[in-house]
Amino acid sequence: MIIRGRVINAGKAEGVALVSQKPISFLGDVNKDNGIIINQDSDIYGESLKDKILVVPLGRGSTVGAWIIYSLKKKNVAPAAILMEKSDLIIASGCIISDIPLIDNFEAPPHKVIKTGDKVQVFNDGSVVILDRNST
Amino acid sequence: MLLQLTKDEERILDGEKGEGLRKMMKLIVGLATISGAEKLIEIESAHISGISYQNIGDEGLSFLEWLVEEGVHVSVPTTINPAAIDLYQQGYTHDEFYKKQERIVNAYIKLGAKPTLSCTPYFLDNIPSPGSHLAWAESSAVIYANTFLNAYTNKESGLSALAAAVIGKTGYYGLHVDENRKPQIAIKVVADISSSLDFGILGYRIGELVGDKIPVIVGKSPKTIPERKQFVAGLSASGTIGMVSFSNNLISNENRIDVIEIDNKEMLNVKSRFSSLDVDIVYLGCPHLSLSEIKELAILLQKRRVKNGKSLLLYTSISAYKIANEEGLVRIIENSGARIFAGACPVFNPSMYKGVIGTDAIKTAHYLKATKSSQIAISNTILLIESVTEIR
Repeated sequence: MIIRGRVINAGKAEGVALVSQKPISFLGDVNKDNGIIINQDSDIYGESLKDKILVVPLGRGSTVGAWIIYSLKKKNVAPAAILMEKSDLIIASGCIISDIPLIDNFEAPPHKVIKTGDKVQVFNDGSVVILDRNST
Repeated sequence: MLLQLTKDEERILDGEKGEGLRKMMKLIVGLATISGAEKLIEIESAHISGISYQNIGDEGLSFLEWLVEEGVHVSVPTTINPAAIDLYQQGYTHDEFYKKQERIVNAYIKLGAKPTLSCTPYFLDNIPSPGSHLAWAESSAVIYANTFLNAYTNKESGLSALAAAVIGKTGYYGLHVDENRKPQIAIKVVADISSSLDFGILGYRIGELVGDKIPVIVGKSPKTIPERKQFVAGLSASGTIGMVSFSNNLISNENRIDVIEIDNKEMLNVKSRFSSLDVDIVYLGCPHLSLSEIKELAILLQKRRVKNGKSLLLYTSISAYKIANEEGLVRIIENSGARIFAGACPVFNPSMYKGVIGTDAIKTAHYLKATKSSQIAISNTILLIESVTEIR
């Protein structure tokens, strides 16, 4: 299955999807040293972002979030790519300075189409291929 | 219509002028794309926030130093917000925090920014020409420039203001477009407003009530520098909007926008969230004291001294401090037992003082309440000074 979105930061990536139905704030939700979700109210609490294709509807919270994304990248625990229903200026800034592909504005919200555990490929032109559906 | 770039802009985006510039251009283009801009426009100046080490941390520092290594340089006049601490004050311990803060400021200097360390660039350091387009961060300064100086700027983040400073351009969207600066809601002020603190509280309540709608304010408008400064700082602490407008009456309400009334009860709603205890430490200078405010304080403090066990802490910009020092005002203030800091922020700094904090700035009260465990009281400037000083 292929879905297409708008490229905010171009790049190629491949990985296992981690999907949240809730808006994410990198400041507060994520441990910046190990990439683990530490906000207990999150539906992906305890999961690691490292090398995942992170799929979230929206961003929220402080502009410091951009620096947290940069920290994750420096420590090799960043997501391989981020797919959003609508990206915000904070996550976009963080992805651009950290060279993390970011795509938004898909035909259908990606967090409704992709499931945690799906194997996903992301391409430069904003197309996203869902390879193996997670059967669970 | 999609974002159209010029040949030169494309070349920078393709990395022809190096990796540092490529990344800065990607930031501008990415944010312009998200915001639906059709083109980039030139800016007259930039003002960057996120200078405090407490705010941007090791990540921010390492990114800035990387940009320096890449040979990146700003292309328009660029000023910077306050640091966490006064780097030039004698006797400050040169600990890890100090060194990291100094490295951040040094990186900005190498990038070509002026080390103004001020949240009020519009006073002395970076005065916009009327009608100019800017890329300013520091939301209180953004509201000041859009509302009182007839300039055009969005509320940038530290990063996006830096990128715009380097490229010399920003996306043509949001408050750069006249169409988006029209009022969408009216605020009728019937409350008694008699001090700059009152204007701060008024701004704070308006920020809470209007959401993302630009208001036209009817009935009261801040006139003096302290009134205007406190008003924009109140708005910036509680709200998201980047400007307001004023009108003498509601007659021109042809668009039939909603009207919200602010009376004394609304003002009390904000005041009652803060303590009315006797204060131990008074913070003045958020946003930074202007030179004229420093003069007034010096005249007041000439005949007073800070009581035992109390502290009076003043905050201003590097430029205003220099002039105040040359004019002998700093000495007068320090002789009273008060301290005056240059280029630092009373909010984003490591706490050195213990006790009930008093301030005439709703913005200080808002952030200290959120980040520190101390009790916070708000009061008028003169009353605060009288409470921690005595006649000599």
